[in-house]
Amino acid sequence: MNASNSAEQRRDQAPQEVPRSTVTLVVNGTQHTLTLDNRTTLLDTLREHLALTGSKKGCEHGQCGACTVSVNGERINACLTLAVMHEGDEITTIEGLGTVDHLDPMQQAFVDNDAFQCGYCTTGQICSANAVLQEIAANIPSHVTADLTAPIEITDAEIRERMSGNLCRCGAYANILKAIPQVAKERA
Amino acid sequence: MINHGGTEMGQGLHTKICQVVARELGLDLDSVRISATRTDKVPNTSPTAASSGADLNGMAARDAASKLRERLFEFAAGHFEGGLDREGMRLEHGMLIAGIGESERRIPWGELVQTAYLNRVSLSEKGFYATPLIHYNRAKGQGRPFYYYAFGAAVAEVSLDTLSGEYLVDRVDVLHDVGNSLNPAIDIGQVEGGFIQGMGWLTSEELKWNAKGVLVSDGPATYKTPTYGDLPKVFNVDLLEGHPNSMASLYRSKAVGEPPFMLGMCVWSALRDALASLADYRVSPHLDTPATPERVMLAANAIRNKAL
Ligand code: FES
Ligand code: FES
Repeated sequence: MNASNSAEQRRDQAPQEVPRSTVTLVVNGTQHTLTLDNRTTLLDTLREHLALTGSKKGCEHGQCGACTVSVNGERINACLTLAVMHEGDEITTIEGLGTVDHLDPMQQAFVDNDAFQCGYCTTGQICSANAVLQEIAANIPSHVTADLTAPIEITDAEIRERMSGNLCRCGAYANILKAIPQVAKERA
Repeated sequence: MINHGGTEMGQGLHTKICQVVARELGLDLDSVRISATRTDKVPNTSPTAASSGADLNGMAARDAASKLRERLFEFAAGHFEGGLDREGMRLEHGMLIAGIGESERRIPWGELVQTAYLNRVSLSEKGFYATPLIHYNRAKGQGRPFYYYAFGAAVAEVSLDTLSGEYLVDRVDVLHDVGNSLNPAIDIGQVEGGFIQGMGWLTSEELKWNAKGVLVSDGPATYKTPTYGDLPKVFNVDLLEGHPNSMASLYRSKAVGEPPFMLGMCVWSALRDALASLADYRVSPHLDTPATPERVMLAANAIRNKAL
């Protein structure tokens, strides 16, 4: 047994250093610089490191939409992206949309239409719903868009298709589908 | 402030309990609050299950509130100057009202309870409720396990693609019986959600195990709960009106959590009916649940092969 071999053995036994990186995120208008384990998802960063627990963890693999937030104006499943990939990005969570006294129009529409029951999916639904209206306004087609050359209309089919990534186990879909066009109408 | 033994899980139980107490004490809903359900306040709670949350806890809250009301009436009758007429005394619109016409006296709620407190009257009360009449003899398999029944009817229209087995629920109409609704908005939400869950149970929510007995449909990617596209294109839900519970339940209401779940069966039945149409309604199609598109396609093939 030679010396180099035992050095190798020692290195294998040493506790592995977890790679960490420093990242700066702009969350709801406030800049945060954090040093994180590289594997930390954006969702865990928001919830565990910034105490913004409005975004929920339903499945942690991009299937339920409960963790939907906006990154630079586009919706994203925060459980499927690592925080360190978002240097300098602007992130808006439900906490940045409105407050109890000044609800965002979409939040107000959800209240008006009784569009939730347990509320677990609701923050994701609201963040997604706002993004859906923006995407339609920006003429981004979906799977059900029939005419790619005409301006896209806000139809029930368009909303259903675009919201299909947000599950609601309480089955509050019918009222959510009333809330979203209400906001569209107010904006028109 | 109320503390009851039920768990709020989005079904609106807290709201219903607040409504009960507000009604019994003649207060605005805004002046009634709930504190978190904890067994150090209400020990030995019954589980919030079997759709009994409002039935049990609502009745217990009502019991407590009415005892409190009677105590305040007794106190008010003897305390206030000139004496208040105990008979016909009532709590309405945040006031204690006694007497009628000329001799009517009104005392605001705040003043009433403050005066009662200063006169060393207890302002807290505990209530209890046990569902009457129910009994069951396991050995004989006889008895009355339920105090009352809730009824509902649902009709579904589906269209299906017999080549791929894919289908759409075009329309569903539901009429559900909640007796005198405690809160129609909450109850309709419960009926809609119950229906959707029942439909998922019988159509898309498939538990699959591999040869080793490991559940492989173990997340939303593989275990499909209904989503927006599965919501019937036309979905009408109404509560049966004018039929109070014939038993003396909470304000003659009925439980609403799980009963509408069963209405989801109409989607499965409609799928079978659509399949039967392949053989001019002369067969009773074999369609296991959950009726996934795969099973619908296999059922369609079986009917077609038989017909050949
Ligand atoms: S938690 Fe992110 S999609 Fe479910
Ligand atoms: S409101 Fe409960 S999951 Fe959507």
